[in-house]
Amino acid sequence: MRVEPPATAEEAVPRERVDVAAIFAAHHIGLVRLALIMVGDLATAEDVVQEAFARTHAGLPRLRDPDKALTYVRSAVLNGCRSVLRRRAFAFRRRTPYEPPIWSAESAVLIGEERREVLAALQRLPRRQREALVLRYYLELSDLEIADVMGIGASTVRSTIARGIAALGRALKEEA
Amino acid sequence: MNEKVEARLRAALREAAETVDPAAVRPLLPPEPWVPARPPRHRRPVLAAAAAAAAVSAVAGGVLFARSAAPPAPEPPADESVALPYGTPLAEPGSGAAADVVVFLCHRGALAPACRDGKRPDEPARPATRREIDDVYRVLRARTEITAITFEDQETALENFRRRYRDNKLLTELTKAEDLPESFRIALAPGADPKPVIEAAEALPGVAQAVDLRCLERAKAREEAAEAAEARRAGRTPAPLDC
Repeated sequence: MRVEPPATAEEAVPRERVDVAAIFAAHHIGLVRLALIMVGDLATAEDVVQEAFARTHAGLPRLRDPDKALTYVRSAVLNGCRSVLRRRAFAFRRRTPYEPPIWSAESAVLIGEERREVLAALQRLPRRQREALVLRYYLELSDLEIADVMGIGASTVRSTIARGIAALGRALKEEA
Repeated sequence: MNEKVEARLRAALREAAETVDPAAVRPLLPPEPWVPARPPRHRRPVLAAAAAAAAVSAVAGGVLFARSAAPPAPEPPADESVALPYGTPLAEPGSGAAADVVVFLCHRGALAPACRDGKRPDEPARPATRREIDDVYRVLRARTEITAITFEDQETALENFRRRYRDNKLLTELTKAEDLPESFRIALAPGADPKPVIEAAEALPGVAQAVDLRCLERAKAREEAAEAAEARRAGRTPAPLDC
């Protein structure tokens, strides 16, 4: 437990506890949507967010900067998605029943073909490009915010997004 | 930058996100305060290892979390526990004495392998029967190093849980009495070794887990070290405890 008394009254404010449950309650649907875009199916997306919720319960109360709480939570969800995708790379290890990803033809009722084409192309991008593009074009985060969530530098974010968009354009046969 | 690609990507992401119907999303479940996230596979023969693992995860899930209660009170005050039908109160109300060991009994939501009879995790566990609870009490009662035993029923457990996590509204609202186990809260004679008590309790049917609260407190003290926070952030498991 952090027992040291805050040096000043101003300092006491950022050291206040972060209410993880409130953050998750406020952003639950948004986090599930983010996870869905990354992993492709709702059931897994829900699991990822639930797991991140359970895991960050322990860590967040000691977070130094409560303003970063949402960033931290998004990172946790993104990390959970990475783990899922990594596990899936070994198809033989998959124990859960197969659920078609939202970008597959089976999901045609939900999403139009043109959109699915984009999403499928996005899935084929390298992991970092894919994450950066989702954070920019879905969450509309700034370079700095993306850098924080992904734990990389802001200039890396810019170049990664530029390369990602270029690669996506090539995959979709758009004129660059 | 290619604006057409950007526009198509934005639209596709929005459409994918909108397939999530907020009303249909499973609500978040409050993490169980002490049950190991992944119950140990083995049964009785490796109780010591299982208990160690459980203690570690209890630290991660429960005790750390207890620091969100304004005065750090790992133990509910003795006067809040129901002394009936079992045992004597741990101490006079307000004297500050607290339990050393808690023996959790099986309830429907228990994840401990001892409660599950090999059932799958999505099936309810077998709750401890009245006879089993009586037997647990008799065994504990017979041990000389135990100075006081208090029974905590589900209602009292919920009261204490609500008090401990009173500033986590979501958690307290979602948790119901039947989500929490009944328990025996045990005070030991000064200097007594909790391990034999824990092993004896965990060997009994109907017992989910026995926890050494002193050990958890020590663990909590150790958690202060910043490395622990780093380790968790990096996804590494802290080294197992000595108890």
